[in-house]
Amino acid sequence: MPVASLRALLDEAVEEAVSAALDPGVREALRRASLNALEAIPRAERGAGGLVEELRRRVRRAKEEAAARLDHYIEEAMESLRRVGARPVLVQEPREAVEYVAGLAGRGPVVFSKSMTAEELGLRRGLEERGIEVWETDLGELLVQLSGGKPMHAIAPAVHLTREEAARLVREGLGAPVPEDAAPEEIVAAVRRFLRGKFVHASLGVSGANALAADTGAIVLVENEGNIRLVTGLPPVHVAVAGVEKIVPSIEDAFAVALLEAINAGLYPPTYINVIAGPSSTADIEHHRVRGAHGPRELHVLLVDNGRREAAKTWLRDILRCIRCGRCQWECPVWRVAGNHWGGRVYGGPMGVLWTAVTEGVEKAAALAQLCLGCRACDVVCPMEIPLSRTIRRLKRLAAEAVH
Amino acid sequence: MPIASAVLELVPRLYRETGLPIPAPRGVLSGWASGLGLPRRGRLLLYTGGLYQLAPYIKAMVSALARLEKRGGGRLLGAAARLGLGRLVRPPRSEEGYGAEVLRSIVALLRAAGHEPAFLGEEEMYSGILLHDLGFDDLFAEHAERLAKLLQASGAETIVYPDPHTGVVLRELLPEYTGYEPNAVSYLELLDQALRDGELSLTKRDRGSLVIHDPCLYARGLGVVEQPRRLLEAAGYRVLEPRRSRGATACCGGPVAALSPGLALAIAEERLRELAAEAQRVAVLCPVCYTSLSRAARGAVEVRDVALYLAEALPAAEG
Repeated sequence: MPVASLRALLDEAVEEAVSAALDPGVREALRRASLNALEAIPRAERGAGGLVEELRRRVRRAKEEAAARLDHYIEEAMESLRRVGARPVLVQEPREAVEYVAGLAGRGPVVFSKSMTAEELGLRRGLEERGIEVWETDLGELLVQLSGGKPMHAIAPAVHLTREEAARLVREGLGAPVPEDAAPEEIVAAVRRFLRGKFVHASLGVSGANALAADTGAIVLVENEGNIRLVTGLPPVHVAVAGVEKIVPSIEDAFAVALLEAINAGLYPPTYINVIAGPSSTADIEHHRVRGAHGPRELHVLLVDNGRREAAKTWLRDILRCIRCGRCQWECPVWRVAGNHWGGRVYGGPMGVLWTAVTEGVEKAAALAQLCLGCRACDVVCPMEIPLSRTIRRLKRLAAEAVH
Repeated sequence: MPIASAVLELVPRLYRETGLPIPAPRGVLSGWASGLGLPRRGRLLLYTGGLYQLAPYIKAMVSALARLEKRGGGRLLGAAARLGLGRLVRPPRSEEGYGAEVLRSIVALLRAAGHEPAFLGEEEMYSGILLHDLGFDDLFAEHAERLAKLLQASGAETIVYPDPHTGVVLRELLPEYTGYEPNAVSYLELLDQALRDGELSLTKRDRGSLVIHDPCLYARGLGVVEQPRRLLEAAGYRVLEPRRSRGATACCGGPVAALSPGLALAIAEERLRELAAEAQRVAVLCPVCYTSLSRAARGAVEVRDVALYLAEALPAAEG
């Protein structure tokens, strides 16, 4: 690793983290959100009772199995997807994905439900640069889109914005008549009115996937807002974007992932769990199967590699178990002052450093790793028991070796 | 202006020149014990690891680096390093003796519990922990070999350590890097055992409330959690728990203080806020926590080591 570039990366990483930490607004918002999370998540866990341990065990096993035989499960998932009438595509890198989706989008509008993998691919920006109208429909993600910034937490992307800022963004960005001191309810109602039309007229809906079952090709998505139902149900074409680490052996495993995600998001039971196995169809006339009934007539599934298959063969493999619940972020002292301004371009906090290693290379991640405290708080809360701090320290070694 | 990359280059250089990762006067590791009459050899060896003695210099260094981070950045640090950092990082007189005071209290407490620890004197070695924590594995591995030899040659049956970072070196890292597995215990474990066996008596009277700050590595690594609480309560302190405590404790920010004093201070301020919500007196169990939290407290909240609080309850101190 060249010393000069490592020095620059390290100093850049510090500069970004320190400026966020010194911003009193960001500090206050992160403090409030992490305190709320500290109450909501244990409450959800109590609600789920003995199920929590069972889910953790099941998902851990499923993810370990899938990461150990990743190519096999990619193959099986693609076959299953074809069997249910979906069109799987394995993409190696972001540009491929942007071009593929742009080819399906027509003139839009395109509606997105929140997906960190789409963010990793730069999918929304890529479409916007091609002149296609795109709207995020998850409220937090829409606020991030309007602010021109980046998501600040895997599950709560707008944790760094106060309600006053949210009102201003919606007023200026959507032209909605929202007063400066609007209550959250008013902001939500204004966004709902604005997005209704976009859902109905969208040419394409883009979603992520919490899990993809290799045995059946079923995609499972968990949510509370209801936007995922609309994004994946109303437009004539649906594209689901899934990192290949989202593949689990069975449909039961996929449900377990969704439930575990919900608990870690602090809401149990989740309001909606969506299962999508192929495009909509009907056989109500002469028992002849017609693709495209009320839901989409086409379902494309982008299986994203972008470094994951390589990582599965190295000491970075453990991070492929990550379900991106963000528990490590709520507990990480560095994240609690710097937010996603520490961890990488897209992902933040302890898991972010490791995802950056997978998707953007170990050099950048090694520089970021130097800001890890080694306090082990992340290790204790990770439901997947990923040795986060130990793996991050291994990245530190690369940085130290480069300067020494 | 970031100083991180300049510091990352400076630490191994300083270490090669002096055996220490930061600038500090010669003899800093052994001077604290003068006049105590500690034997060189014995069944029980107090191995300090050097962190308490270095704490005032770490704090002074971090303050100096904080000024550079705000203004000059890494380039100025390079220039300062060439001039000799020792002048830049002298701690104020009021703080210079902090580590010595804590270590002497630890010795007094151990003696009151019926233990007479040995101490290596001028042979005392730095634990090497910062080399490990910054990722300088080759340097740390060499250091660990030398440390393992020194400790083995001491002939001690039990090694007692004063802080969690030194504990991690003894309990986790020496076995991993050298294969040597010393029988190592925290002085708090020894005191707690003596208390329960009736061999340590602390004068119990109402000493008011304090809030305890668990060090990460005691709580999530070495299992030293209940012992300091039992000891403080035996001395008559009312021990309050902050929002994040025991296994869920929050870090003081100290481990990144050298690379980014600004980031470390922000983290320390967040933690201090949680602690000060319970009491205006904080008991720390680690010299790194002391430097971070006292820096954030700016004198408004009392931050002191648990050994100092406990020593107040020794019959001798009570008169």
